[in-house]
Amino acid sequence: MKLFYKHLFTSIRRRWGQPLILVLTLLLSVLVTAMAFGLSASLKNETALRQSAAYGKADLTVSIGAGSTTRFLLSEDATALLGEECRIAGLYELPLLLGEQTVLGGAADLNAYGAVFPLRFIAYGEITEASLGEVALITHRLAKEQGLSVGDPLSVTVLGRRATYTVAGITDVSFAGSYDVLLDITAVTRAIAAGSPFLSAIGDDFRPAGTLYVDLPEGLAPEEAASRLSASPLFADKSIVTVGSHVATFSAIGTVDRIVTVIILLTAVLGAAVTFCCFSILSSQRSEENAVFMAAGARRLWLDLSQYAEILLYFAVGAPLGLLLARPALSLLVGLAGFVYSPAVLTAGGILSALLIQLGVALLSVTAFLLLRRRRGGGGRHRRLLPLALAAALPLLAVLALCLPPSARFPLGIVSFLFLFLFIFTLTPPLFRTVLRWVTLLLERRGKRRGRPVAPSLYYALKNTEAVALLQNSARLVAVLLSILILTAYLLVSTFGFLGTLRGLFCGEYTVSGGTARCYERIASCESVDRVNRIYLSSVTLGEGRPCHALAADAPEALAEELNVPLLPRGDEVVISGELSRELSLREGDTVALRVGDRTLTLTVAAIARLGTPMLVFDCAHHGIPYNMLLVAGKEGASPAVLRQELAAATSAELAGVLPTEELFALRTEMVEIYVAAAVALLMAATVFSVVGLGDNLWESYRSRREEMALYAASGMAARTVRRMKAAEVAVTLLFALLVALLATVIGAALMQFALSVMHDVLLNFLRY
Amino acid sequence: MITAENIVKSYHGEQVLKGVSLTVEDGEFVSIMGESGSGKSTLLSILGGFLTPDGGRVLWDGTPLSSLTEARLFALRSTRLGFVFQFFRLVPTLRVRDNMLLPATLGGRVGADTEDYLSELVDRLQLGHLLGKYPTELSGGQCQRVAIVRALVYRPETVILDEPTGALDSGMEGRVMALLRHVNEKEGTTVIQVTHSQAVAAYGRRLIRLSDGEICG
Ligand SMILES: Nc1ncnc2c1ncn2[C@@H]1O[C@H](COP(=O)(O)OP(=O)(O)O)[C@@H](O)[C@H]1O
Ligand SMILES: [Mg+2]
Repeated sequence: MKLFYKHLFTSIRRRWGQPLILVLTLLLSVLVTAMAFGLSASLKNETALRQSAAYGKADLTVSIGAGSTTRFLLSEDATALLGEECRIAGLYELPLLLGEQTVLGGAADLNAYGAVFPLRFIAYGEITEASLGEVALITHRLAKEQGLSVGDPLSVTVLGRRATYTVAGITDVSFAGSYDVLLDITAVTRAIAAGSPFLSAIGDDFRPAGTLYVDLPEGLAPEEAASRLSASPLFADKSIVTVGSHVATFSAIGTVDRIVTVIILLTAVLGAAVTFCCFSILSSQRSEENAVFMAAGARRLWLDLSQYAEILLYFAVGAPLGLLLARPALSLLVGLAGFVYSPAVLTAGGILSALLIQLGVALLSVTAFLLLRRRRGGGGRHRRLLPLALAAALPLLAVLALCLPPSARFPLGIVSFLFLFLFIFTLTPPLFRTVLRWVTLLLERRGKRRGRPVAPSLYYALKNTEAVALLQNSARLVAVLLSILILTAYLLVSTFGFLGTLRGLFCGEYTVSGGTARCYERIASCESVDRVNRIYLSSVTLGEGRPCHALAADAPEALAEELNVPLLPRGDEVVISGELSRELSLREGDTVALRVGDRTLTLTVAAIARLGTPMLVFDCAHHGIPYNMLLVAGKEGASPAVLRQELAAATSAELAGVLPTEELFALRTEMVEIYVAAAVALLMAATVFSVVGLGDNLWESYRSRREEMALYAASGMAARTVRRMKAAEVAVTLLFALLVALLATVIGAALMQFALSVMHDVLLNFLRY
Repeated sequence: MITAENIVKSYHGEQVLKGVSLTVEDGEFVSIMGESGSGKSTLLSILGGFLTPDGGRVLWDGTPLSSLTEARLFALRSTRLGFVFQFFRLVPTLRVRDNMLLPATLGGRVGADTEDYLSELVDRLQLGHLLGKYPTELSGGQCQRVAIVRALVYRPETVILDEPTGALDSGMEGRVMALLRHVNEKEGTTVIQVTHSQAVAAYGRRLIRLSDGEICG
């Protein structure tokens, strides 16, 4: 027994190729899994911190919408209703032109802002009451990008007028969670005053805001405060939302965990496949030694146990290295993903889970290997039964998927995917052999007619491939890898297609946020403007807590054709997407509850549309919910520069931000692209290792058969033909793997529907407005 | 006619063949005997062109093997020469039937005629039930018979066999030797075999003794 383990060590030292790949595979599996857990923890942390950055200490937000009769909010009005104890920061969104670049900026009463939002300066200069109107606070990000430091001048175009401010402070995070520049509101009122006799008469005490962030004192519940505000005619037409419900819609989509599950699943599948194949090679390398040991009285059990000992040994080497790398790798990823608030978080629980999961996968793949190997020795009946049983399981899962409630679909989808990969893995070799036999028979029959086989290199390559387990191993490894890659590519294409659909939501060259009714009229009367529409876009909750996004428009032409909305809902009607209809089992004519902010509406499903996203369209105006965005389309042939100028002029005295739609979209989807890139990077790393494993498999299929190749030569096969035969073996193997992968993709694409809806939720979550 | 002229071969400085000369006429049946390690296998490999001698040369019908291009040499092996290695050397990835037809196929000789001859040989050596198996599933004696069929099936002019009955029981030994004699007499095939057994050597019509790398008698 001891002798046997000594032998094991010697054999590892002598043939270290497979052991090395196994160690690396385990290292990578542990690394990726730990990173997936770490990413999930960091993302949750980041989200929480981001929310606190976006809302500060505020319990309530009040904002104007397109239904508002006034153009701004005054914090004094709210203070009068809610009492002196509450602190209110009024913020006014200002797109700023910095040269050619649009930067999102905000203006606030800096003193009031500081009372509600934490301000953490990296560097700051002196700010006096007198200089307030001339200073700008900027984020570290912008400072780095523009090469600005404290005391430098910052020249921007504000509301169509050029102005220069002095950088007085650089903070580590953005203002109100989204703005890169913060100006004092007096700077803005002065700029506006230059063009408005009304405002210039009021003077510096006038501090307008687009949104009020209200920090309520203890004892005043947000709901109570909200109802007190909406009872007043000053706020009746404003949008009042408790921060609690903001946060709920933001984080209710707990999809991060699902992404983590998918990443772990993929690494587990790849890891298991590589482990299995390495063990096949090892066992074929050692078959003679093992036979000698068996002959010398070693028991089968010992040999099997030694395999477990071996994988544990590799794990003991690979896993700690993987964990060691996990931290720096996660930091890098978090940095790339643009996390601002949260550092890389690697919890003990995450580390432990990663270790246990991958150890389990490793042990399972060794067990599978041992079981299959034993079966190969025994009767062939089980070998045929296993794939059949798996094949039967797939439709069963599909039926289950239809019957089970939506909440159970995700785990079921995961199980189906596991089955699919297991299916590919076990079925590929026998299927491959069968196909090879048919093809050779076909070639033989053709050869008989002609008097000799078509091409000996191909003919014998087919025969060899049918018998060489290593080549069949390669085929299944490639099939699994390719199907993962193709499915991922499919996912990515659909993601970008989905982003395209989202782009379709903004049917116009310019978007104007927070425009009032008067702003709408002024834009409509612009020379170069062809059409201006009011839309409403927001996170809502449908039925029993299904978070989704709601769209409303004042006219059908505001909805792009790509959206396929059959009719614009009126009154209590709602048009829902196919996804939502399936998930909530809603049909035309059903009634459903819709929560918008703090209100609950009861709507009737008027149509089910192929919106391409889990979304709904309703009539917000009918329910007194104001539109929150204007979409502007220019006249054909109108110069973009002129259009932009006209818009700037039209909105200069309004509290409205004009932004080219492309820029808005680029700003909002940046995060999505970073995440996609990170996911692709992880997958690529896994792919590289599988490719190494594969290359090794193929190389070993040569190395171990050098003598056989010599035999072909001895039987009169020309050296060139032998070389061609070797190439043909690899080509045939890869070709078959590709075919299997394509077949698997067809099945996988059907299973993928669940993953896509998950993905869409995630993407919508990133696309906040 | 195969002629070996003064063949010298050494491994790692140790001379295994020390100037061997011999001529085998067409249609002869020659047995070579000698102690283990006396260089019999080495000699056969050199005659078949699988090894190049350090000195001397081998002529097939007056053409030196060393003057043949690789392609011609390969063609020779799959058409004119049948070779049975001492340790059979079957291709493990090919089924028995494919192994038997390998040189014939490579030589482009597979036709109805070959198929008939194959079934005749298979019947004579009682291999019919093994055609669909892989070599690893066969016993040593079975492998040896497969290798013999492989060397004969394309009716080469010459067969060279290295201990063709080493792994066979006496009954099967008789069948194999009867087959070789039949091939030699009816088809006019030249047979050169190495053996340890007097009885087997007696099937041949000429006996060559090899001792310590030299021919003696
Ligand atoms: N490839 C080789 N490398 C080194 N020595 C060899 C090789 N082949 C044969 N020999 C040596 O040459 C001698 C003759 O071997 P061989 O021709 O096989 O003898 P026989 O067939 O008569 O038993 C032996 O001593 C053997 O050890
Ligand atoms: Mg010998």
